Amino acid sequence: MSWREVAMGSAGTAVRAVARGNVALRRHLATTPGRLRLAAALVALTAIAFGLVAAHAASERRRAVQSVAVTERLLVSAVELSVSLSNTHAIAAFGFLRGGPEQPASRRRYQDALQQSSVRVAGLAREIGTSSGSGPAVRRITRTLPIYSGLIEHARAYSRQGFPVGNAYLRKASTTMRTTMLPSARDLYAIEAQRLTHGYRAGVSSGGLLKVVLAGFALLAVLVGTQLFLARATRRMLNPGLALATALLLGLLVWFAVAFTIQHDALVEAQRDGSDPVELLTATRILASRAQADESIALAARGGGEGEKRLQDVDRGFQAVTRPIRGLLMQAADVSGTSITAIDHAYRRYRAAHAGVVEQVKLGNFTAAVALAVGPWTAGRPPTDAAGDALNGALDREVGRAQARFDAAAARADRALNGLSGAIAALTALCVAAALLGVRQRLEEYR
Amino acid sequence: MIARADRLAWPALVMTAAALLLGGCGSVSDEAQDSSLRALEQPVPPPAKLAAPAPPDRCRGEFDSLPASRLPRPGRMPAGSLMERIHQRGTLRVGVDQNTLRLGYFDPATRTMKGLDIDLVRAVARAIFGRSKEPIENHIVFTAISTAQRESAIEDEAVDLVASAFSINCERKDKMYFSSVYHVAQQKLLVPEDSTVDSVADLRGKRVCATKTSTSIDNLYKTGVVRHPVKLRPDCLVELQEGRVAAITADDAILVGFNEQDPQTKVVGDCINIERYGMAINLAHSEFVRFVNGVLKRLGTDGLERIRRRWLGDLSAPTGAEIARCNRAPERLRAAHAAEHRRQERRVIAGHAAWRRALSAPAIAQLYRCGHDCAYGASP
Repeated sequence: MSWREVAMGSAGTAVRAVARGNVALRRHLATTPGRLRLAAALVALTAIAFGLVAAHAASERRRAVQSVAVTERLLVSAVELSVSLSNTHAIAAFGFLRGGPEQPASRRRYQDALQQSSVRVAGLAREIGTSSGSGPAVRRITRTLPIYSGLIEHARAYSRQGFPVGNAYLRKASTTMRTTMLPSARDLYAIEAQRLTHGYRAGVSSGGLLKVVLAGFALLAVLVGTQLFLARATRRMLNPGLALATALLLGLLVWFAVAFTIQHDALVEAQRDGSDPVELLTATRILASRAQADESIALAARGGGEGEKRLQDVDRGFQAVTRPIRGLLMQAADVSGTSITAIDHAYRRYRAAHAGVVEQVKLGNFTAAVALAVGPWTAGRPPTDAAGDALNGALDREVGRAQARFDAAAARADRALNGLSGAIAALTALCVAAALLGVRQRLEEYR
Repeated sequence: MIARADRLAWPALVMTAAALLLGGCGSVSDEAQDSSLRALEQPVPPPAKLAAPAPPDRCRGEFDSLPASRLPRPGRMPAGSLMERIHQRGTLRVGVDQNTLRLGYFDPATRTMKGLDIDLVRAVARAIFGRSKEPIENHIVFTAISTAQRESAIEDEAVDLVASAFSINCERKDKMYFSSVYHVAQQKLLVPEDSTVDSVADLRGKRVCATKTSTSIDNLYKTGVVRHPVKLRPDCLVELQEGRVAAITADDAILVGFNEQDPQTKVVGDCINIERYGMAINLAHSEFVRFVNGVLKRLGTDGLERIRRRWLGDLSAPTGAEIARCNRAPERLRAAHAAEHRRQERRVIAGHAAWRRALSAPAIAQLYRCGHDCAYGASP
């Protein structure tokens, strides 16, 4: 009789016993073979339950880890989109700002930036697919981008004729950018960021592990109980089959604990050293590029601004946008030991350059302001566009480093779970087999 | 052997529990994300509010200014005057509009400011700094201000002078001085070339664009049109070209500039209001008002007419009869709208009454009694 027949037999016996009625069952169970059969069935059922719980927990973990990696990539894509939209707008506004005949170079820069934006929005639309909540935001951007570029072309055509309505079209484009496209990009960022948090929560929740441990202990209790019963009934101290099953179970539990611990720590590290600084730095990056767009718009409006009530308010948009930057940088440094020295230096330079521009704007000296914004270096000090580029570069480098840390840690978390699902299936099956074999040996003695 | 099985089990249990505990030590937090998201939150500007205009003609001599002073020689400004301060500073700071073709605009090709307002500012600057080899623009700082910024720019003394098609009215005169009138314009309508609109009455219930805080938008108050405010003047042309408004209303001097930028439009209608332009100056500087009036007086009617012709060409100033006809036009428009509104109301009420009669119990009972014949007028 193979172990399979034992299992079938014991199950069959139990069913027959039920059919014959409670009395017969009770009578059968009162005998040692009956009890042994019951124990074997119990072991098999508990082991299968344990296997299912464990497999579920392991696959859930794995999914969480993989979703964290995917969502983080989407988050970075959302940031890139937002940045390239701001960038497009800053370049467009600076193009008009210079005045005089249109420079082919600045036209090319605008076209490149616009192309990059549309490539990114198309890429993002493909990446998020249809199943995600970010769909509407991406669609909003996809819909608005051609309208935006149409407004810019209107502005260009009118400006080439020297007509001031060109400026009105530029402002309209600016409004479209600031009220529809950038907020949508921000929504996208927020949605992906929240999904990232959910992923982390699921990836480190102790619920799954707790269930596995409880199921494991239940199986262990059944195994130990069977051994105790056998030991008493047969006066043989060790049943090799059951002992092997117990050892396999314990081994699997230890594997589980170790894999989950490594994965948990790797994921926590991925957040602390990877995605947290990525989020903080990319938020800074978005704000910085928006500030650059704001400055060029304020300059292109030559003080008219966005209809601020007072002239002193022309810098208000810039102030509002840059206010949180320092806090974000400090937090990034606190959280993960990200080096912000280079960023801080670039940021200070950029602020100084911008302050020079604003000073000239407030004096009404637009020619000087424009020269400080897009002109050549003066006395070793960069114009704001060069300083802005330097700041963006410094931020991008640090984001790249944090991203690399994230990728490494996320890969480690994923690797930790390698083989776990296979091990669960194999070891659980072996555990059942060993236990049933052990019980069969004893059952044979009652023939 | 029982004991051995137990001994095997317990350390493993302890290990598993420890792993569980260890695992709980480090944990994920939302802090970084919260601050990132908070930082990206964008304040949404409040929607534009439109206030009722002040009652017209609440003061007499609305368009009078202070008497012109005798102009001192350039560079010899009276001590303690604003002109002296300007001369010492070396620059006259002027608030202008850079977006209104023919009145005040930035020409991107030459990177200079041009227009009727700008020429007058030049005359004022020349009177302070005198004629010299260097262009007078070197002594002028043009600050582009929006229509809504005109009052605050003067009140904050961010500029010495505002020359931006600024209509003189009583309410504004409480807050600042105006020079004497240098141009008289008529508020009119600009519509697409193929539009049949000919007057404000044709625009009842339709959107009409005008600049925020302008007298033009005030004049449309309660005339039955839907007012569509924008920040800067040419924004209206964008709205018209995009088909969001049926018409633009502004002064003819502004509208001819729009028409030049978009020939598929036309200026139509009777005069909606007479607008008299003056340059605005802070209330603390009456001496500068007199000085500017002196400059305008020296330019004389001929000089002003030359500048006007240069920028506005054939657009003639309204005659006395036209001004008289246009006087109180906004009130007439409001009265006409109110009358029309009352007529409509009466019609609606009458309609209601007819329905009530038709649906009253005796009428329905009658309908039951005689059916089709009754309902279609044949008596039973």
